[in-house]
Amino acid sequence: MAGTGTAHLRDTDDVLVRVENMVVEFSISGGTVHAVSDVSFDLVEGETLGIVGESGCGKSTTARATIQLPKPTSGSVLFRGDDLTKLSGEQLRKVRPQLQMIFQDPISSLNPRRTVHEIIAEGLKVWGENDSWTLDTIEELMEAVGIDPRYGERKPHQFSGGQCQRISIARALVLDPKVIICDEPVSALDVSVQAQILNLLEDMKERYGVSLMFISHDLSVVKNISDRVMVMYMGKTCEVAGADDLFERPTHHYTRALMAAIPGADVNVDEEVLEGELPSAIDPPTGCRFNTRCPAATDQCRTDEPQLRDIGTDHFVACHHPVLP
Amino acid sequence: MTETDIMLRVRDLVVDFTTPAGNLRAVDGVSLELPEGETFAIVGESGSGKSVFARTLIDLLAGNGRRGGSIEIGGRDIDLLSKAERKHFFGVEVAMVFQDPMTSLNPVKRIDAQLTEGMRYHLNMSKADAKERAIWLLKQVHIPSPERRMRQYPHELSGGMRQRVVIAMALACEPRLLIADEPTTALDVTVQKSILDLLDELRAETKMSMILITHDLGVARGRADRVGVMYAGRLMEVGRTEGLFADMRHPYTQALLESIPNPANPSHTRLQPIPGRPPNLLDPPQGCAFAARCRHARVDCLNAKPSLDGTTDGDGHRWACFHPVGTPDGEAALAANLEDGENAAGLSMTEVVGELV
Repeated sequence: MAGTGTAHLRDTDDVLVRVENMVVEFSISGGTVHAVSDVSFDLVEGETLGIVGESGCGKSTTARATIQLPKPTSGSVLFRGDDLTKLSGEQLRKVRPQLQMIFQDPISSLNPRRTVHEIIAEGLKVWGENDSWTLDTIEELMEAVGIDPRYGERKPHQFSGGQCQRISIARALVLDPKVIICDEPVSALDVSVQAQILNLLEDMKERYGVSLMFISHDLSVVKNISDRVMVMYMGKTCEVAGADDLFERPTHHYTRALMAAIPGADVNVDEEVLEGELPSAIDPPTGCRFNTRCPAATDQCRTDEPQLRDIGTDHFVACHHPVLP
Repeated sequence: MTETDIMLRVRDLVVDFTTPAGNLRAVDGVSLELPEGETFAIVGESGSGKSVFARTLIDLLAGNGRRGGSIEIGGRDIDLLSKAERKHFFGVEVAMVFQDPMTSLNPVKRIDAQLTEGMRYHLNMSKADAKERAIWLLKQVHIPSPERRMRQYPHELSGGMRQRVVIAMALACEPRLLIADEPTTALDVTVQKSILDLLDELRAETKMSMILITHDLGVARGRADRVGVMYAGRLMEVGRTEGLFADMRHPYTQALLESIPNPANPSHTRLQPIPGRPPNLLDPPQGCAFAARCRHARVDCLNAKPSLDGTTDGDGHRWACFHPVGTPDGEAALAANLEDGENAAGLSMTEVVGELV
């Protein structure tokens, strides 16, 4: 895996975000961490793109670099035609309201000393009121995300984790964004609450016409909410396909290993458990980055990096030896 | 089943905490029996009391907690142990694995010091013997080049590796009962699988019994011989794993399972959350704790708590419900609530059954 390439990018008019050859590196005392290495993806209007992978695969960094937090080391991020990596600070600031984010820990991502009303209205305060952003919006938004508008003067600690996540969603929606990046938004929640938040995200997407980038380590959750899924490993793309298609015929050995590891689920994937440890991101393996743990690795995998290629039905895989049906 | 076959017997366990806001009953009358060599999974959401239950078993109750009821481990009542016996008991006979492998290891001590400490203390082993055994244990938990790992600090190991060390530590004195409190929750799925496989393998080798605390129904389903579903400090349903999942009786078990995204369903399948939230344990309801959120709840559910022993079938499958799922009575209760448009606690049925209607 661990492939590169742009074969999976689409050339339609409704492409909202188009990330090409994104690289994110961090310098640390022991060398350079290759967090994201040449990842490309796109997001069309009204779509949910799921990005799935294990800790350290670069999924959160990919999402954050998309909104220039931090700026990618190289590569381009086109948002409605503008390359965000080339914008000046002030230009970028003007674009940012359209790109919002929801974080994993709902409680610590809300300021404990502010009221719910203040938290949701913060964006409006920064940007000033105009015709489309009025105070009604806040009450209406609270209603929409399932928080009683009468609780506007309460503070985050008076709410449960699930309710705090609803407040985060309202805060993200208040500036009428085009894209919301959800970084593990349900990982800290109980399953019964997780279902509420996933349903809410689907409703909000429908109602306010936003597109979602949904980052998660949980394959079942990603499948449920996504239209298209990108599987990542060590800063590289393994496989990109429609959610149902990916689950029906996972072809990359890493995707298959992930699916086989879903506890207790009846997933019909016969793949060995991964052996060994994740290699160091400072000195990643050459060739396919998965070759040190892949059951099908050959000499070719150790030298040549696989490119994403089309295997039909809008399904792309970066592997020299995929499991084709 | 004879007396000696039972590794753990808990009777009417009650745990109360004194808090500034009043008395909080975290565990409310839990009884269970765990035969030797079996795994019993306790499944529940946050605040269900599952972790308090686990800690109480190993006598790690916080200072403001009080325990009622009895706990017998290996046929011995833990309240009747002398001080010296206790020391031997909790550490040798019973061991625990916690959720977060980073905080359960000492960050400023090398792995060898942490691994050998228990053996030196409990088993009076010499330093050399303990070290030899520690290396053997690291091999048992599939850690490559154990000699090198012994000299490392926890931060030099990955999360999965650390959890293996914690498991090796727990197994150092060959416990007969292992209590694993969310042992894989902090880990990636592929690592989770390998850790659970490891626990299964070790358990089969040593005939150890295990209490597995988890919030993940999938983990319980795949790994346990028997499962207990816990809610608001009470066991709602207990049974052999296959039997329980094939034929669940408690509306809470059913609701919990329905709220999880099933990878077998197509994407964008509407999920069925459980409406409302768990009861405030400082002011617990008089009746069934789940009644306010339950699609089967009738008036009787609000007045009395159903007991777990009330209903039994041949396989030890028990549930604490007046109107269980899949019985004529339960179906009648559901139908009557649908007719009324709300359950006895006033919860709108459209919220409870969503788009199933």
